Amino acid sequence: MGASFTIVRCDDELLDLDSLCKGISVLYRGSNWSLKDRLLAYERNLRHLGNDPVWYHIQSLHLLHQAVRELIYYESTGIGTRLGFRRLLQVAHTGQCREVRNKVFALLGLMEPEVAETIAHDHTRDPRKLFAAVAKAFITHTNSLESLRLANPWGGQQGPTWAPDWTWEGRMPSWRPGTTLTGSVGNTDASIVPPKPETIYNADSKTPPTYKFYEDWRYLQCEGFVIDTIGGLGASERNWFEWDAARTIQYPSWKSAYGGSSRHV
Amino acid sequence: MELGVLCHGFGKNDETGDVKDAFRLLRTLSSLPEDQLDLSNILVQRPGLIPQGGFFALHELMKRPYWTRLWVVQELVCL
Repeated sequence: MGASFTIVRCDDELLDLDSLCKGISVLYRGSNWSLKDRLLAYERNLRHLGNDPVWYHIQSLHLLHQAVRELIYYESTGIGTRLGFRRLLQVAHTGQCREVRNKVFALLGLMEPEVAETIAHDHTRDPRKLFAAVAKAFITHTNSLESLRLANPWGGQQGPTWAPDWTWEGRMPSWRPGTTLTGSVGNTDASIVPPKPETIYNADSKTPPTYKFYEDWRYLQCEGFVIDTIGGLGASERNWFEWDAARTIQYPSWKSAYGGSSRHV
Repeated sequence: MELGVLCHGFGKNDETGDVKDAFRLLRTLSSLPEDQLDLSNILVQRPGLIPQGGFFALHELMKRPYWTRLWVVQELVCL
């Protein structure tokens, strides 16, 4: 039936899911994001609850706006894509479940069908093997090693370091490719899908990745290169939307990594 | 479940923030034309359009544990 037929209910109060998501998306428009905090503070003050201006529960708003809304739009129009690996991990981080494996299983329906089909819905599976299987499925399906950027050695499950640990608490939503911007520069139009990381980070110049999965589920072999010298760095971030220009380290000469004379590197 | 719709219930209404106000606010916001989404203008030019207490109620609604359940996302989108 899909989300367009879904309503939410609290006692006798009903609201269709589409209106819920559209209404929340208005909060993300321009200065509305800041104004909502002031309006909340004003209404709290009227109730003598103090006027703390912080909107404390933005995770729910982000969940509805950045995940559910886009997915509903995709399901109803076919425009856009299902959530990528990074977005799925972010949703898993913001949500709670009793069983570690459900971090994955609860979101199977949001994955590309080809990825979901390869992940056996086995609640007895070792979480480490499950996380490795998910990473393998994404790498194989996308024929890309982009997911290695999501991997982390800090996860509590002690799985392979090349496979993202879905339980890692340090995985905070951030303004990276694949994440809708929030605030005055944000755009709520669901038809504008945030760029996928692989379309932005393209230092490989679309060179096909070389990788091999071993029978031992713990190992992934792939080819890469080691950066031994960093010639230049962009400015580091300072607060929101600001960059510390003084910390920019310009590369001494412009030279295309792809062999041409273009300044596109 | 009702005929033709999937109904998600997220708890009882309570006195901390009337869900009716939150839903009324969301209906109002969702019905705004694309070129009239600036709330600061609406508050000045169309006072009364934004329901009183709506933002407090919406905040209370968003605080509900319902939204922290990971299965909710899949249920909302895929059922």
